[in-house]
Amino acid sequence: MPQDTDDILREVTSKEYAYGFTTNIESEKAPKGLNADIVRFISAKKNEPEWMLEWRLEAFRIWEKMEEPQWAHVHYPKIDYQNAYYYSAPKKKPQLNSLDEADPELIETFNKLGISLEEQKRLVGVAVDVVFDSVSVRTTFKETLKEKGIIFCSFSDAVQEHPELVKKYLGSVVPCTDNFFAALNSAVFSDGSFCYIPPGVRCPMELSTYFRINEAMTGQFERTLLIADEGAYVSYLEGCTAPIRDEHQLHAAVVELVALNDAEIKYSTVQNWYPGDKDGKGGIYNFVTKRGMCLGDRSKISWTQVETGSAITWKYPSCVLKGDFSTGEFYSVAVTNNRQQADTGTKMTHIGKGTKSTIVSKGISAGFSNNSYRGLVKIGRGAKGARNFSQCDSLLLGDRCGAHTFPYIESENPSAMVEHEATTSKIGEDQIFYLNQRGIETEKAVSLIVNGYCKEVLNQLPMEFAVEAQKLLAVSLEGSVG
Amino acid sequence: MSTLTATDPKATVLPLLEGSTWPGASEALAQMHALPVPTSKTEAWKYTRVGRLFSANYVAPVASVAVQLPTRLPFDATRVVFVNGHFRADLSDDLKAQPHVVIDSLGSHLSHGPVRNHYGHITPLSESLFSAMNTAAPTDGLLLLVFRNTTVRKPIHVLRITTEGGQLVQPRDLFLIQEGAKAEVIEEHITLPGGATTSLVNSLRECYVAEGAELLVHKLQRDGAAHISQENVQVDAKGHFSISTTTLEGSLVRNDLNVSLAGPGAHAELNGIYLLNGTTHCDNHTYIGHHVPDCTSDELYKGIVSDRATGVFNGKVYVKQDAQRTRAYQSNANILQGDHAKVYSKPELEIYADDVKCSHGCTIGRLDEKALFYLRSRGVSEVEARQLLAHAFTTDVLERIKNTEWKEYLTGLIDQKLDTL
Repeated sequence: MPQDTDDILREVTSKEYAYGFTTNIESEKAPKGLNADIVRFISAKKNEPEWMLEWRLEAFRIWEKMEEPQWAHVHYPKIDYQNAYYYSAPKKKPQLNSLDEADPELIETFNKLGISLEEQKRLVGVAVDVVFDSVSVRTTFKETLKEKGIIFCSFSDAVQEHPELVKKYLGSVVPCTDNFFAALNSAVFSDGSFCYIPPGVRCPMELSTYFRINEAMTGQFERTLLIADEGAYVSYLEGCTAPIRDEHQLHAAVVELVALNDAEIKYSTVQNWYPGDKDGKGGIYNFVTKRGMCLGDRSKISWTQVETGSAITWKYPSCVLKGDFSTGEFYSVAVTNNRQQADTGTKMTHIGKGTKSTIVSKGISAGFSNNSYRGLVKIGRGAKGARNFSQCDSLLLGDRCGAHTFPYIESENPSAMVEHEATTSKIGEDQIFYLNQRGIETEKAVSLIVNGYCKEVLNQLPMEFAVEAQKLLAVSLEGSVG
Repeated sequence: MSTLTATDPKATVLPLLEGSTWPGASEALAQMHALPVPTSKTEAWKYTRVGRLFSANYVAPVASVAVQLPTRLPFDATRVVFVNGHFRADLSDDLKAQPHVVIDSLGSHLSHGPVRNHYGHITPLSESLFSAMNTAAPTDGLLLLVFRNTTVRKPIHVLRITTEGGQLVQPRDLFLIQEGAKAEVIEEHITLPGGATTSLVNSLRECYVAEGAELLVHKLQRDGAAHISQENVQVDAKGHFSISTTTLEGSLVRNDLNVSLAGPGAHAELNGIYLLNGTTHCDNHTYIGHHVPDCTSDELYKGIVSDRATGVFNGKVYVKQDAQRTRAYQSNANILQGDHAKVYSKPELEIYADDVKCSHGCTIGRLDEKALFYLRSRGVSEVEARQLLAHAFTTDVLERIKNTEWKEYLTGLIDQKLDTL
């Protein structure tokens, strides 16, 4: 047994990133560094109206005065924000009606990623808004969505075509002043996705965006704004892979969700950016602000995430439960291996009456990695009858990794019920033995146990995504032994 | 000191700390000058504001006052009395009754070997303003030294009385429980009627529990004063440390409990009950460091918070790398009643070893409506039903107290308090 354990651990911890490759597409860059002129450059590049530029500049002024947060349980060398590019776009921006017209190299990239647009279109019926580096190059299924009155387009298009919606909701959930990285994003965001579901409409398909960081030394600053009007429903998928790079790359995205009365938003993420090599060299810094606002009564926002990539993850998809009887959910699997560091969790802010929230977080750490859950459940004075249940489990694979839990629980209403529980342990020798003894080899046994451990979260993913998520889990941890 | 400016909020207490001859006092005073007063931005003090403690003008603790002692505990115990932090031999029992046990004023033993070797050793000055403040000018405190393989026959009842308001009292204890020795201490904080609520009691205790030794501490806080209390404990191999903290009164109570499990097989048990009403603010901070393999810890804190009171719990379990086969359990349950009561809880786990079983749980809620209904349907009045359920709520903490006589006495006090909630 111990022999096996060591072998498998070595194998797993030395597993190379399976999706690493580079695409050579000429790209247009802004000069290195960050100042008001760069912000103006980005805004001009995108042909933005005056109000948008003003908004960015205000955010930049706020950012200048802010300090990088230090409270997270992660360590990294100081980032030189002046030594990065803040804008890059593929030079060719093809207007395509069919895949044949697309850059063959691009298609090749997608094929390697296993997200062939064609296959997606034909088999799954998912509309894919591909974000390649920072500019949307392709949107599909737009026609179908248009019929329902659903707006699903790149953020830049939304600024041009639906300024009233953008003006109304941009920054309403994550204001520029929210935190250092949100301010940075607000100043320099390159592009992203915009989605609006009109009242009473149930989006007929899963909306999906594939993010990809491609250009060396490019920080990518996505901005996503998703609005579900009264009684609307939408399920949104976000998935990521990125090529191997030696230079650390910064990614500071902002995602804002707004749910009005009776609306429901389901937001699922599979994140598999380059985690760095086994000595912790390279990898993406993923500093993301995601927040959903349950603005309307009986609205619901559900976050599901499978985080396996990035050298550093700093991410807290949150829900502000403002509407009465609104619901927030957070389901998370975070896997760290080698020298990865993850500090992730959620914030559930209960403001309205009868609000409910559920948190299920599963952390898995292996190698020399550190995996922290950090969460806040806040029950405000007016949140009469509010209810929260949190469960945070950690699984340790290997004796050099760390698993941490930092939950903050604040209740100011006597009628609220809050429950939190957390456990940390390794896979029991007896469990492995039991499976071995039934003829299942150790590697498969561990995979079985880990899958079972994460099942509660994986079950929340839409079918199309669950497969990819399981694949990622397998790549990250296949055969790990506790 | 140049840092002492008119705007330094500590200016109200600094003059009181000058000139102490206790070990490390001058370094601590310098440290005290350097450290800022914690604000809500200081993570460890996020929910507890202490700024106002420094806005009052304090006087040095009053030494010789005549005191009418309360009735004795209803069971046999060695009573040691401190009035305003000063040791009172005249009011205490015969402390020399048992050989191989030293129960005395710590101040009079500072130059003695065991004290010199341990005093201040597990209290890092750099971090905490309040430990620096205590070390800069301790009033006095209890030295408990139990020699190897000696079992202290009777529980030691440490009675700390604050007689009047406006004092800065700084109790400083040192407990040395040598290999295989056993001791039980009951510590009770009271204030005399007439209101000593404006006093600040800033206490610090260091406990060494040597290999195979056992120390039980029962702490009862029912004084009206502001109370900052720090307990630094080191438990060696197969040692056993157990503490139960019961908070019934106080304007602002902060209990810092730092336990370091330093030898294999060491065990720590931390229990707490807080029953808060009025505007009482009670903050229990516990830290259990599993620094070596095969240690266990078990923590259970329960509280009922009503009126405008605030309950804070922060429990951290730290498991160092290679501290394998650690078992750590932590639980915090709160009942919130009254529209202005608040509970902030932060159970933390920080784990760097893999062969561990650690868990924590936390709940905040109200009394079970169904259980209330059940009792009501059996003809129990609402008030009685609530008291019954509240009593039951505290029972599992009380059940952990092994000293049945003390448990009975404490249960009586708790039931009295529950009647007022």
